[in-house]
Amino acid sequence: MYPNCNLGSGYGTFTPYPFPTVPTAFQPQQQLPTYTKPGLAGRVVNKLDDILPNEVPMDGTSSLFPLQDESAIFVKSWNADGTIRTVKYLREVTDIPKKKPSDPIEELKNYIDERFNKLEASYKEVMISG
Amino acid sequence: MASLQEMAINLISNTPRFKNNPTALNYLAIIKDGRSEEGARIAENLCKTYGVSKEDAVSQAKAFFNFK
Repeated sequence: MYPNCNLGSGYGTFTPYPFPTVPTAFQPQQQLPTYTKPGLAGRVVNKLDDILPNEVPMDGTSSLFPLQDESAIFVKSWNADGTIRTVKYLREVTDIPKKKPSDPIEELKNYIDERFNKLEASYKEVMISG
Repeated sequence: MASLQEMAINLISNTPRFKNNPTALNYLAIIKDGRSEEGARIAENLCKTYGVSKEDAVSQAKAFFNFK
């Protein structure tokens, strides 16, 4: 039985709603999962000095700071002695156009052209000098 | 009343996000072992890294923990 509650003058009385009883014996304690920030820590910066110490997490993980011009990436992490370790990764350009393999016929043609040009120049010189 | 050392140990030990944090665990070990010189050196390095003076850091810590 639930006792009636008196709410004061003018409100009358009400009977509290009997809340359903829930068996608790076999209910395991739900542990909330620890929230971890998805993705990589860090941001794009213009220069190394733009990075503040509080942007480097103190949980043993590293933060990545690519330069705006994509010339390098700085990776920062805390050392055990209270200092910050900075590693600089430089860009390596891998899309250099490869030199075409030489064509032997084209090479011969160029050689002959060069020889003819020299002969022509020599002939002109001889003709001018009389 | 708990000493500063006990307070720091309790704070780090009872904070769930520090449980898998190697940096925090390292600091906890230093405090527990009473390696005060090492602790002082780390504190000085931290001040230098954050660009604050030792005095400012102490006053900020006092304000944070409500010390007078």
